[in-house]
Amino acid sequence: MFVALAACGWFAAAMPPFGIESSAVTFSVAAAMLGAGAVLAHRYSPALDLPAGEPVRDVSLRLRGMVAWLLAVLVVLAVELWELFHSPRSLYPTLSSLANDVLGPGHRVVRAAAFMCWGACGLVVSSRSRRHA
Amino acid sequence: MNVALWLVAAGALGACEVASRRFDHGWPTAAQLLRSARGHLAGRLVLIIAWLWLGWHVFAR
Repeated sequence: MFVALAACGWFAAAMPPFGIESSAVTFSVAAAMLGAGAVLAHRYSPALDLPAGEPVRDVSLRLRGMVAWLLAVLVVLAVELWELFHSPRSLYPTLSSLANDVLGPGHRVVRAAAFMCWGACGLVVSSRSRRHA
Repeated sequence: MNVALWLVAAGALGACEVASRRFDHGWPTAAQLLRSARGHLAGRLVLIIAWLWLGWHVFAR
């Protein structure tokens, strides 16, 4: 699966954006990763699981932590929207424009590696985490 | 100046992760939050949609 993902990433990285081919490859790989994740969910694989951590003993701290994470994500969204609704893009960079400098067409190796990482993340997000006792 | 805004946003996320490492048995790490989300159908759907959107946005567009 790793070799297939690498091959797909290499070819997908060379495809021009906004094309039918790039969309087809992306969504085909997405479907394959989701399917593989669903199959692996039935055969539990510890490699796909994230660390459970210690059991929570302080519920109020956990709640404060979750609120803090939510606020941090809202800060990221706020910055993205601020940048998005202002121009020029060179002065108001969005995440996409920042990523394009690294992952845009012309950076085939980095783009292919990013595609592989994205595909691997699909295996993780599509598999169900097991609750430890 | 606007790159500074992104640094502030990244700093907020980093601060949350650092705080989760310092406070034992309470403040969740990003990995624990993702694990919790994956444990519920709705959370898994949100993650899958976000992952699909990211792939479409970066590699297809």
